[in-house]
Amino acid sequence: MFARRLTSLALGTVCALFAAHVHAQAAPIGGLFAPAAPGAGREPEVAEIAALLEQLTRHADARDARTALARARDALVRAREAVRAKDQPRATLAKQSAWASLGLASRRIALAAAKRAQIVAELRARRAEAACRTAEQRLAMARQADAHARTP
Amino acid sequence: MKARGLVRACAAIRASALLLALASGCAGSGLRPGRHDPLRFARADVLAARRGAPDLFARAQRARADALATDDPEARAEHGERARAWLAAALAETRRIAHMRAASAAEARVVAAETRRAELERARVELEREAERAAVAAGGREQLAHALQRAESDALGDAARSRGLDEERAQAAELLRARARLVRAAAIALQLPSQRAAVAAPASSGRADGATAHQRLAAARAELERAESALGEARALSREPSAQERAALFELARERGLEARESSRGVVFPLPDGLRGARLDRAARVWLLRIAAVLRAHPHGPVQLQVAPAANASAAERHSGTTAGARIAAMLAKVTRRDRAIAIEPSDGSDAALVLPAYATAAPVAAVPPGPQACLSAAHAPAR
Repeated sequence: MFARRLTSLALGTVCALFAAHVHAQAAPIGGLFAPAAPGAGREPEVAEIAALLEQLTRHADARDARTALARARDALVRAREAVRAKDQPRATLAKQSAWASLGLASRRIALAAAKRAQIVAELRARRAEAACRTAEQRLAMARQADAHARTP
Repeated sequence: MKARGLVRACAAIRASALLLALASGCAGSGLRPGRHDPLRFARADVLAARRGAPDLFARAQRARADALATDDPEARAEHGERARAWLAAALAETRRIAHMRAASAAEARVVAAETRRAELERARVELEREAERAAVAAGGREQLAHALQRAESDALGDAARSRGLDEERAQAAELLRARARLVRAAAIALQLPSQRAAVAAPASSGRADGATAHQRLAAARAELERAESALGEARALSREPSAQERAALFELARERGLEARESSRGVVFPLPDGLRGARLDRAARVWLLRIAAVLRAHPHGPVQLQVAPAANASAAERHSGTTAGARIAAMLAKVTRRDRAIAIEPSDGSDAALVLPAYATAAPVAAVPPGPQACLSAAHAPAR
């Protein structure tokens, strides 16, 4: 229970930090799926990796990141085996590899969402511009009618 | 300062060297760059990732450095895979930022287009409302003109010829009373003292006192005349006519069916031919009724009558012209304010006309000095 709370707290902090960083880099990023990244010098825990992997696998855009998620899953298996074998250097390597794959997966998912947002925004822009052109034509017709009505 | 500059230069050189090393694969590491070498990064990818997502690129750099630092092939492969993952993440992040920027630009276009569309719609709605108002006003003007013509006909003694038009007279009386109310409101808006405005108010409603339609129409006409006088009184409070008053003068002339044109001398109303004869015809009498309304509502400056013959005219022509001018001046004196000067001026070759010089666009003088010919003040004319 305590470990789960700790995990969610850590994940929340990491997500917030990453979101703040990306926001500073390319504002605005409204609606971005915020991928997690471990803090500098901190090694991710197996439970942390498993939780994030689970979260990303369940995401609606997970198929855009299926290769990266598969690699993360393989690395997680290796990390668990190394932990069980008490092989700390191998466990660290596998965990880092899994974390990097998860970082890639989360950004692929965010990229898919950004592409969709751009398509939607472009469609809205085209629709709004078409409506604007229609309004221009209607105003021109109204002006023409008005000028015609004023002509003696 | 020098030391800091040196440190910066060293950092730049180190970064460039690292970049080149990354781009060219594993220079100096003993690793051979191959097709599937995990430590070989494409130059374009390196540049894009470094520019777009420097934090993720830094992770890729660290992973690659770890790979280069180890002798264990398995560990090198793990680090290499990690380096490639972070580089790919950096590239994905770069593309994501580009997409988000494009989406933001599209959203900005949406906002601009919607704002513009709202402005255009507002302009169109305003134009249509204006057209509706103009149509209603045109209809109202037409009705009023008809009502005024009916009142004029009655005033000129045509009532006997137009019996059986009581319903029309009742409608005309209603219209004239409504118009009188509007004119009184305008006078009050122009700061006419309330007691003077009360003078212009109707004596009775005109319907309940058992008057005939003819009498009610005459009463409405009188009410409108009083309201016009009140408006003239209010306008006279200002020293000279405003641009709005000039526009109102032309509007009133148009409404009453009077020909009016603007000239350098002022606003010119051509006199009808029938006005010069000893006996006035109907057109001349109608013109007098209509010009009276204009003179009541627009009190500024003198009235110039350009009827006197030119200096080179014969003696008989001069006598005839002067007599006609004096007669017209006397008639105008009956319908205008008592203290308003009516000057008879020689004609400038064009047709005889009544001129209001104070309403010229650039009014030359506030009050015209007596002309070379006779000058008749309304104060000397018979009482109205």
